[in-house]
Amino acid sequence: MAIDLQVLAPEAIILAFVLITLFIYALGSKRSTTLMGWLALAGVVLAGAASLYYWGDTAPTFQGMVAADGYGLFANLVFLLAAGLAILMGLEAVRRFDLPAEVFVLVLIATLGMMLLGSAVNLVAVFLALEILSIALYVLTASERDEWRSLEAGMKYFILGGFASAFLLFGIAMIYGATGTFSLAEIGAKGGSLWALRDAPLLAAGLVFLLIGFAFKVALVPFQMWTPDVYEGAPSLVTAFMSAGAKAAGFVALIRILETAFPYWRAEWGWVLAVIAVLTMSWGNMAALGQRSVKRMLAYSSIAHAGYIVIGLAVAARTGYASVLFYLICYTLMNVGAFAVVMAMGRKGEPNEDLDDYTGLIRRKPGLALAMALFMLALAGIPLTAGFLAKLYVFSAAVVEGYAWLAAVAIVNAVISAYYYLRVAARMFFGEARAEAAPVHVSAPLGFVVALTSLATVFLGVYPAPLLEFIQAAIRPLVGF
Amino acid sequence: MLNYAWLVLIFPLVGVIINTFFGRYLGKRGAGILASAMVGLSFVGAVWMFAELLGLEDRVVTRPLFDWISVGDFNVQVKLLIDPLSSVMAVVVSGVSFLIHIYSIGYMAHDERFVRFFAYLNLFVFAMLTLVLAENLLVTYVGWEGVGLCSYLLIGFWFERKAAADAGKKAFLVNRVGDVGFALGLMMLFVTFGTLSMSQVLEQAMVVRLMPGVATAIALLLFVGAVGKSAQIPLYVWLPDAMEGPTPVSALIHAATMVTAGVYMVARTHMLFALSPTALTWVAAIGGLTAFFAATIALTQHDLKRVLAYSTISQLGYMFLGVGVGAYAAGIFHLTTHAFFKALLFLGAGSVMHALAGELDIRKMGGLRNKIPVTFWTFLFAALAIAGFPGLAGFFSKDEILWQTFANGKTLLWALALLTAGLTAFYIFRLVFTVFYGESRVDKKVAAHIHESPKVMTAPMAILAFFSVIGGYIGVPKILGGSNWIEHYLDGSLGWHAPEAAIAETAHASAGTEWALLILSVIVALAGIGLAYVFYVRRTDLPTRVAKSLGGLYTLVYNKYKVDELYMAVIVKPLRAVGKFFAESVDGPVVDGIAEGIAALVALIGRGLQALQTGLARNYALGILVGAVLLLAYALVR
Repeated sequence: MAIDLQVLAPEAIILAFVLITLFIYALGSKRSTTLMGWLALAGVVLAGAASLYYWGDTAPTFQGMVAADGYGLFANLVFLLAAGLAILMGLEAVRRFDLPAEVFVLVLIATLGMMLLGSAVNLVAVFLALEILSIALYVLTASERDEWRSLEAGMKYFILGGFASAFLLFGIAMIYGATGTFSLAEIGAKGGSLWALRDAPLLAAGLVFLLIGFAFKVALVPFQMWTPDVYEGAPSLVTAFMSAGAKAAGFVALIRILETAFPYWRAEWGWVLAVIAVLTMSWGNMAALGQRSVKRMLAYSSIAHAGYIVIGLAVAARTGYASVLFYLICYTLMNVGAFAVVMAMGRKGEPNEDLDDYTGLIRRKPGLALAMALFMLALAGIPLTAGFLAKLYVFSAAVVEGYAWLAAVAIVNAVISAYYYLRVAARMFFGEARAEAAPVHVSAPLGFVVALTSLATVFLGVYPAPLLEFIQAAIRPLVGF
Repeated sequence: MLNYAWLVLIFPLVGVIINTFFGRYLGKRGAGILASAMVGLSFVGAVWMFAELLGLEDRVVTRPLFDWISVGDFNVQVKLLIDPLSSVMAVVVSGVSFLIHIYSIGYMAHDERFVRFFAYLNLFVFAMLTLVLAENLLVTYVGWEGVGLCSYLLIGFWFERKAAADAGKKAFLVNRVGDVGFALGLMMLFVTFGTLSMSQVLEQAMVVRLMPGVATAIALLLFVGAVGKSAQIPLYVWLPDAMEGPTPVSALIHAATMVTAGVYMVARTHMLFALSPTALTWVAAIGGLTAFFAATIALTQHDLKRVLAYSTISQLGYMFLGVGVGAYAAGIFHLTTHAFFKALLFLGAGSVMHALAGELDIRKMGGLRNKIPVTFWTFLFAALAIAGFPGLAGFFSKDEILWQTFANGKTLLWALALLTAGLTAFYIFRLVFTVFYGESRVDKKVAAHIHESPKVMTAPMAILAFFSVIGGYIGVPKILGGSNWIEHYLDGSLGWHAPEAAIAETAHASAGTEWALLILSVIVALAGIGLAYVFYVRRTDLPTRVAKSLGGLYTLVYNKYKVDELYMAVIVKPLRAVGKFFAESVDGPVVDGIAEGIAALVALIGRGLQALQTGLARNYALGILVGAVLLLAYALVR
């Protein structure tokens, strides 16, 4: 079987830039940090260009390990968007929080893992990609080395992540035991007849374990316990990157696996996922209500959003998947934007994450406060923002596919969530800042991230049509029409 | 250009964005010029569009921009509709806006919120053009609310003054009443026709047979919206108060453009009104009554801008009378000419205020003719135009409405409108004579500083004066040797009648009748002017004596029929009492109780969940295990 390197061009580019930046790091001095950041960004941009260039190529390659089909290439764009924004935030973070220059390398490695995960069509490749991604994230989480919260978060994430990976690997083994293959397509072909006989406990258990592995990665109840601690402890740029990029990677891969290897899963597992969706969003929203730390609130909010996204998965079908992809992009934009603001508020040793630190921000930093208010509105799902349409498409997919009750629960949840999102906005606009409030500084790259994400949030909220068409084309190879 | 019609919309929006974010770096001059230039470009685009449309055979062109909402069967496409009606309107709106932008550079020169003012004005133009060019009524609605927002912001522009802030609120709230009607009308329209797209509604209106009440209900609900926006009885009360805003705003929004949106909307959806003669009768009656009612109030007011405000309400009444008798083109024609002369009257008023340090009471003016000659002459032309002096813009358009009303058999409304024409001539020349003629009654201190406004203000006035004079020649009636071009042109948009010709065919009155009516209305107009001359130049003691002899009636009219007080007593106070009752005995204990109970419950659950969040990795791992066991159990027993 021929090996077609071209198909992996985006991944190859990222890998090349991993090596380049590492090389510079090995040679370099303190000043080379910024250079590494810009190089990493260049790699991300080039990989994005390559993904667009190879758009439409569908054949699986590397002995049927990966497929650079439209679906995978589209997913690349989501990951690269998150990575690019994280690197821009990193350019500021290495200075402000004294993060090591490796964060750029690690972000690239994690991105490589995500991209492979998005195009993997073989369970071995899935596992490898997931580990590349996860291990890079463990280190990233702990990268603020002189901050105990960061170290603790890294350690917890590592231990629990290892636990979840074991489940995943065990699941893969059982699936292999039942079907004799790792290839998603072949599992789909063979598993169908086994499943029909209702005599495939090994396969069913394998699917459960696989689901658990992914549920941990994307933080679904009851596999989400690690999320608040890890998200709060990790440096903001890492949290933004994880909550947007890694979560997207998990969902993208899960959709591909379920749709290709277990096309019959929906009949029996659709409602299980629906229940998980309800639990996840309710848990996230209710726990977020009482938070005083904006960053921790965003961590819980990220759980809630994973719950909304699972709705799209539970209803399956083409509209459901399309709505998930749209949601992932919108969520990446508004969430990374919000974390960029959180980062802008903080200083070394002084995270300034409490609600009180945001009081009266409008008078201190009007631009930043307006952007944050926009992100809060978007996360709450207020019309004319991307967040509204994202929710609308997911919920309407649920209604169309006969899960109206699920949409109703989700809407109640969205109402609850408005309380804690709007509380941040209200604090910023009404109320006097504390006299001793630390000055807020926004550097150029950080300002760029905030400006870009807020503009894109509004733009997608008003004019989503081109992106939706793009998404429709992207899921065609997956669902076949 | 038609393919680039969106540019017409985009220019003002670009102006808003630049002035909002970077305006403070541009300086006053830069911001003002930028905003004006953007509207100027819009105007050029609109004229270009108009010219290109003239050259086409089929003059109804749509240009899709993008899909806005697409959920299941509900699809809203943002699409531009360029047809005779919208092209005329776009040219008028952008043209008048352009002139008033330039005027504002001079008028607002000393205001500290100069940049913000221009950002609002640009935003207004954007919203207004959206309203005008939208193909889908939902998009129209967006523009409709957008202009309402700008109106609110600009009335209350000097919000430090309580009167201005209150006026802004009043305008917003009164408009809300109308907008609810409009929104309900749109919903009912959607339920009935399954679409809000103008062209699809038109197509269906031709074939669908509606229950008789349905068309009437939709049309009347839409008309409620128009009544609010265009300040007709009973929702006109906000417009006089809106004069608290800067004068260019009064000229642009509260005279020339936004308040005409109601007329435009009725003309735009005329296919629905055509299906319901009942609704049309209502439109005509409300229009005619408002025209007369507001004109009587205008006779007695002493505030220069308020007289003009009541005059605007009255003239809008004329337009509704026109569209109400099925003469949509005549209504739009009057809308066009009115935009010129009423904008000019306001700009003239602004120029007078400029000269007199903000004075608005006409009793403290007088003899200004030679001191501010450009203002005087332009004001005079505008006054002649609105009074219906033969040959000027208002003469042709007003007369067309009068004639169509008469020809339609609505003799009573025609007589009322004719009487109103006389009142109009009288009150407007009352202004001319008291402000510009006679002895100066200006304060000594102010009198020393009287000066003509700068060129940046007088030039737009001169241009508007030019159009107030010649604007009527686009619609010269046949009997005067014209071809009534505007009516034929607008026929491309407005020529649609109900399948069974629901409107009574225009009674075929003879050319002789038309001549007779024409001469009659000229006589009435001249009589009004003459009477004003006698009252305010020759025998200046007469006004007080007449007022005395009328006694209570005069006081009633002077106090604007006490309508504000009536609304206060009949609507606001009872509502407030009801609101207070619900707030204190229902909302507090019951609703808040339930809401707070739920909130407390949710918070309690939240705290419970947080208690599970121990921070210990082993507990988290236990969570994973519990989940795994449950899922596995399901997998095995399913």
